[in-house]
Amino acid sequence: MSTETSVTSVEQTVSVALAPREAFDLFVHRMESWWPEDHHMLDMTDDELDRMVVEPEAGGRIYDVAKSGNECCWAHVLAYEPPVRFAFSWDITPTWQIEQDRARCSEVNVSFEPDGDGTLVRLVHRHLDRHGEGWEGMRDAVGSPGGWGRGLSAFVAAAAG
Amino acid sequence: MAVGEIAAELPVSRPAVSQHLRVLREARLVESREHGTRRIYAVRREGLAELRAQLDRFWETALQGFASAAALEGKQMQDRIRQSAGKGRP
Repeated sequence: MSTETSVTSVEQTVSVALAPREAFDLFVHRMESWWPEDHHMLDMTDDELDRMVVEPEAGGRIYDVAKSGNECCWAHVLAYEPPVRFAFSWDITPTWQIEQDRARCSEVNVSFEPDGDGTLVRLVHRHLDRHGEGWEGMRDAVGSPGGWGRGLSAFVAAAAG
Repeated sequence: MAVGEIAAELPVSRPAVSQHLRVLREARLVESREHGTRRIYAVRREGLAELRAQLDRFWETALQGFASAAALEGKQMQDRIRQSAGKGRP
């Protein structure tokens, strides 16, 4: 696993012992089997994640589905090209809320390259500066009920660090 | 934004907002400048670096999870192949 960053993007690569098609399917269609449990946009108060769904075409939605049936769409497919490439928009603000304005969403591009018997998965999360505007729109972060509490706990942690 | 503008959007008093802003300024998460008789607050652009660091940590964790799931899947696939190969034997 390696890490690389430029000013407005984040890059991570990982090598897995699956063929590109299998790696692609795992990444795209069984997302809930590997996505960090504590990073869901779905409201899981008194609820649980059932699955994550990727509609397999450009323009398709990516959404979490709860056991209760509630859904939360947090991304859109930009490129669906099995088994070589998958790209999606990141419709999430820096304070982990859904971004409705598509112009203020960054992009995640994932490529799957054959690597011996396995696959090299390269992920680039780019155009982060589009969210940069979000950092200035602090009103949005603090203007909602409880916003101060959420925001401040992060600030306190940052201040303590 | 001026303190009054920020306070107008919040269910807390203006002095409380000023106090919060002072803490945020000390933590270097917002910066302020004098504009005539008013003090204007803005979030620091360096916040982008913090966003990047946050996402970097997020994707590192996520891809570790992906690699673990891939390893498990690879093993299950091998087991299936071994089982079906085993069935063919007398």
